[in-house]
Amino acid sequence: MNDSTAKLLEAYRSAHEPPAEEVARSLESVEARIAAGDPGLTLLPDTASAITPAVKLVLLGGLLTLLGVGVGFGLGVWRGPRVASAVPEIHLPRAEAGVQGEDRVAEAPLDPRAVGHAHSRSTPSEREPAEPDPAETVESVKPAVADAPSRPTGKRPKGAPKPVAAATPGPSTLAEEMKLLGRGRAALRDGDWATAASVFDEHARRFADGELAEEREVNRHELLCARGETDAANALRTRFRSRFPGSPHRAKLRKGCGGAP
Amino acid sequence: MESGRAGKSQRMGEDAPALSVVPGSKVDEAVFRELFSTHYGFVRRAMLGFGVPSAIAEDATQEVFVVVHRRVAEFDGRTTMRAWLYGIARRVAHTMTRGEYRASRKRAALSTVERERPDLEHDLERELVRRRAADRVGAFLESLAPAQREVFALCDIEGLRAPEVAAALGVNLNTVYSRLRLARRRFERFVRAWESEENG
Repeated sequence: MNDSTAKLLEAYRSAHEPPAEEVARSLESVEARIAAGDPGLTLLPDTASAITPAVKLVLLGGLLTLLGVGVGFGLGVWRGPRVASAVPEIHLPRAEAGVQGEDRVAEAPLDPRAVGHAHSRSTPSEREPAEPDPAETVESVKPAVADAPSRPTGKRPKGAPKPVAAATPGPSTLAEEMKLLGRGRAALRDGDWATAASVFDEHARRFADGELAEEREVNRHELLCARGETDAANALRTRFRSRFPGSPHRAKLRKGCGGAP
Repeated sequence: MESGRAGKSQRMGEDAPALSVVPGSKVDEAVFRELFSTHYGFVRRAMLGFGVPSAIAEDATQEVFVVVHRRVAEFDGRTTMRAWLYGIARRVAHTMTRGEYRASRKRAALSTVERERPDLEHDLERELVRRRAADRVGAFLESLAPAQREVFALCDIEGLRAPEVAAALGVNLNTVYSRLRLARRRFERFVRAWESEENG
């Protein structure tokens, strides 16, 4: 490594070296958590290393099978049911087909010009099976037409899944959540802990995984601290860390009951 | 560039005897503290490399050490402590960034005050040059494919040896060497281009 590259890398390293104060602060915080019996995050499996050699082998096998089918199809080794049923519909007159007539029949569907040529020279009776039967066409289309709703009825058929939009909380839901938590906050400020607790419980019941679930838990933590229920507050903090690992409120909760107003 | 394998390991602090945790045992408090102080920076940089936002990198790093304390008995000594830490850091990052999207939406609405770095150097010009160089390297790392970036950062920035990196990433040793060779080649080109740009 030459001097320039070494200097560059050193600059990068030192620019990303955490300050001593952060290291000390973090150590203190980690030790406090360990002392409180906080087990930390429940880790999700590492997706990168989840692909074991056995899985790789299975994937490779699947890929090869697909490749084999693809190549087989391309070479005409495997003919799907539609191709097979189309072949007998084209009959060249024996006289024109000559000695290699069978081969030409088999190749005919692959060449549109050959198909056109065969049709133009075949007799009406021979051509008939290849022509789409109007009655059959109508029959085959009918079910699709019958299935398609002619106009919206406004009613959802039995067993049909709910529209996705209905599952997404809209602005009104968020507004309702905010209103409810606002009531709880006001009660908390006024020292009306019973009301605050019942409001937060109501929020948990109605919006268990709502948009403001994290805020509800932070408020609950504040309530527990205000009541002097330190153990319960600690337990809530531990649950919070596991449930909301990336929450911006973690810094606030990290202070524990001492940091609560 | 070969010095990245052994020389840098010593410079960056290869697992010192005092830090060696007896496989399968509980970690002593003093050893844990030293382990923390020695590897905190490494884990924090790894977190940033995994795409953990800087706003929660400190929390994420703490989380790694809480998990380390809980699971230290699982450390079997087959790999180095740093390689083991890296594996845990990767999973913590994966777990934490799962909810990051949701959190980031809220963060925009919350007034968060970025902590000021307390150790800002007085020599502003020197600091500026250093930061500029660091930004350049950061940009270079961004330009690498993730697999190459990971290997390059671990070997040439963190000073891990190739076998350690192979163990940490769960990949073949030759794969590590191959990725490292490609990344280093690109870095050499990048530095040359930068120098010629700087010299006009």
